[in-house]
Amino acid sequence: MLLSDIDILSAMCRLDAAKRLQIAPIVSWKKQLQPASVDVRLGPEVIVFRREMESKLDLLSPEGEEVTRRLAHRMGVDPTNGFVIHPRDFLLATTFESFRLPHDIAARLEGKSSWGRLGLQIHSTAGFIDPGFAGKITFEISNVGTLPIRLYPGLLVAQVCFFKTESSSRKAYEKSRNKYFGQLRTEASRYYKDDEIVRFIRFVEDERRRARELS
Amino acid sequence: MAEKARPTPSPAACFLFFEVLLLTRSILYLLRPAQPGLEQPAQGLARALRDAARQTGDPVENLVRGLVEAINEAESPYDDAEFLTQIGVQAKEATLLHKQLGFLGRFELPLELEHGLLLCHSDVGFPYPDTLHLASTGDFALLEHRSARVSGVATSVVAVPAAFANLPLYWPLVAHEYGHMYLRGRADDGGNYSRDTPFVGHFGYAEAALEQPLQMWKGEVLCDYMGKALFDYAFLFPALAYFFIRSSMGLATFTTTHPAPWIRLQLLHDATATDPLAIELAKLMEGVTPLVKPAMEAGMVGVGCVACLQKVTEIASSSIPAQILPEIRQSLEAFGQHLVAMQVKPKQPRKDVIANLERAFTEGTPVDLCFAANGLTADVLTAMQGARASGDWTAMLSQLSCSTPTVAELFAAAWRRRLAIQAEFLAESSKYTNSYSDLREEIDRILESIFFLGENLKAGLRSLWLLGHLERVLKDATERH
Repeated sequence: MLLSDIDILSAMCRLDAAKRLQIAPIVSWKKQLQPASVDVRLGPEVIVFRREMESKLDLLSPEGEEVTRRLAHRMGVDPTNGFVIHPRDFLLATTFESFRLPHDIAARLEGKSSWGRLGLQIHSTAGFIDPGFAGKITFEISNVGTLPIRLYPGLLVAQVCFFKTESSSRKAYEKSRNKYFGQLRTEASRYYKDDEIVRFIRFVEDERRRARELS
Repeated sequence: MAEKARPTPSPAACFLFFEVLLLTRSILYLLRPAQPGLEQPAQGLARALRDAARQTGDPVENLVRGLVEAINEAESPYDDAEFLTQIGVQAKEATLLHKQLGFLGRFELPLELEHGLLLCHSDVGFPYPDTLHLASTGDFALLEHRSARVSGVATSVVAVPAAFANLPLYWPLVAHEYGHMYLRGRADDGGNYSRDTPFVGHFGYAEAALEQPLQMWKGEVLCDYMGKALFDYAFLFPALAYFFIRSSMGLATFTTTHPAPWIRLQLLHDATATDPLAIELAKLMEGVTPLVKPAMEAGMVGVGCVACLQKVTEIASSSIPAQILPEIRQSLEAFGQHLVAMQVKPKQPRKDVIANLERAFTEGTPVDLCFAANGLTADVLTAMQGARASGDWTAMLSQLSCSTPTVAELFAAAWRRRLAIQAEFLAESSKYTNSYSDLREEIDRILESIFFLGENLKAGLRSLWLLGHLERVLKDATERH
C-alpha cells in the first residue's frame, strides 16, 4: 500500500520510537511533502570514479576492496559552486536527509520529472529501500542527456515514496547483517563484503590454483 | 715506477656530480609506486596501540603511550606529495608555508575544520575573519603574515598537526590559537589583554626575567579561556584529553612560553566548577589526579615557582605562590567580562539535545535524525488526526520545526560518547591483562567505534553546515517574496 501524505505523517508520529518513520533534517515540510512522497535534497559529498587508475573492475578479484578504493574519489561540494556532471558521466551522492524505516515500511527512490526531462537520472537500478534501513540513501547519478548539468547540494533532486508491508518483516535490514546500514556519507560499492561473492572468489582462486598445479 | 698522480676533480665537476645525484633521487621519488590511498590515522593508531600492548601488561599505561606514539607517528601515513598537492604549495614546514601565504589565498584543509569554526562563530555571534586561514601542518601554532605588498592586512594561520586533520574530536583546540590572534588584534588596537601587557598586579618588584615567562603564561591561559568561551565543553573535553595525553610526558613540564598543563587543567576546571556538566570534567580530572606527583600537590603555583626560580633565583619561593594564581585569575575575570561585553559567549548547551546526539552516537544511527530532537509533538499529532482541509494542513505544518544542534553541542556529545567508550575499554581491558590477543581484539573494536564516531561527527558537521546554508537561502527567498 502506497502511503499518502497523511499516512507518512502518521508513520512519523507513532508513539513507539522503534516503529516510527524518521526523516531528518527536513528544511521545509511545506515544500517537500508531496501527495504521496517526500522530496529529498542532494547531499554535500560525491564520489567520482577515476577511470585512469584501473583498466577494469574484476568482480571476482581478491583485490576488489583495494581496486574500489583506488577508483572512488570522494569530494566535498560547496553549495555555492556545485559540481558539473557531463553527458555519460556517472557519480555517487547521497540524500541530504537521513532516514530510518520501521520494520513494516519499505521505500522507493524515484526521480523527478523536471530533472528527468533534462536527462538526469538519480538512480541506475537500485531504488528500493528495505524495511529497517537507517542512513542516507545513495544516488547513482548519471547524465544521459546531451548537455552538461551543474548540480548544487541542497537541490530537491528526487523523491521517496513509502509502502506499508502487509505484516512486519521478519528479517529487517540491520547493522549486523547489511553492508550499508547506518551509512552517513556517500559510500562506494561494498560488493566484496557480500558473503556469496567472498565464496565465489575463494572458489575461483581454488580452481585457478588447481589448474596451475595440473599444468 | 712512480705512481701517476690522480687529477683532483674540479669544483664544477663536484657540483655537477651532486646535482646529478639529487636529480636522480628526485626522479626515483617521482617514479615510486603509486600509493593505494591515504591510510586512515586510526589504522596507525591501532597499530601503535597493538605494539604498545605487547610491551607491558598495564593497559592504561599502554593506552596513553600508544596514543602519544600514534600521534607522533600518524603523520607518516600521509603521502607528502599528495598533501602538498592538496594545499598547493611546495613547502612542508609551517614557516615556509607562512612565507608563501601571500600567493595562496585560502586553505581548505580540512573542510570541516573551517566550517566547524565558522559555524561556531555564527552561533556565538562573533565574526569569523576573512584573514584567518587554517592549515594542517606542524604543531598547534598561530602564524602571522604581514605583507604590505599583498593588501597590508595581517593574515593569520592556525596550524594544526597533520595527524589531527582526520581527528575531528580535537578540532575545537584551534580556538586556543584563534585566541592568540584575537589578543594580538587587541594589542594593535591598544587593548589591555595582550599577553605582552605588563603583569601589573603584584609583580612591581619582580625582575624583568621573571615577568616575561609570566606574561607568556598568562597569554596561554587567556587563550584557553577564549577556547572555552567559543566552544564551551566542546573545547574543554579535547583540552583535558590533550593534556591527559601529554601527562605521560609530565604534567609539570613547562617552558618559558607555556605553563605546565597542571595549571591550565586547574584553571579550566575551576572555570566550570559551578556547572552541572562539570561533573563529567571532574571525573576526567580524577583520572589525571593520580598522575600528579606529591611534589605537585601544592598546585601549579609550586611548579610556577620552580620556573620562576630558575629565572630569578634570588626571589624566595615562599613569597610567590600566593601571588601568581590570584594575578592570573584576576586577568581571567577581566578578560571574561570583556568577552561578555563583546557578546562572545556560547549558547547554553542544551542537555536534551546533547543526550539525543549522544544516543545517536551510541546506536550508530545517523546524527541527522537528532536534528528533529523532539519529533512531532502531541499537538501536531492531534491536529493531524482531524486535519483534512488544506488550511488545517498549513497551520499544522507551520508547527513543525527542527531542533538544530550547535556545533559545540555536536562536539560535546561526541566527546561524552568517546569518554564513555574509553571508560568501557578500561573496565573491559582489566579482565584481559594476561591475554594480549583478547586485548588486541578489544582495542580494535573500541578503535572502530571511535573511528565511526569521528565519521559520524564529520557527517553531522557537513549536514549542519548545509542546513544553515539552506535556511539562509529560504529565508532570503521568503523576504524577497
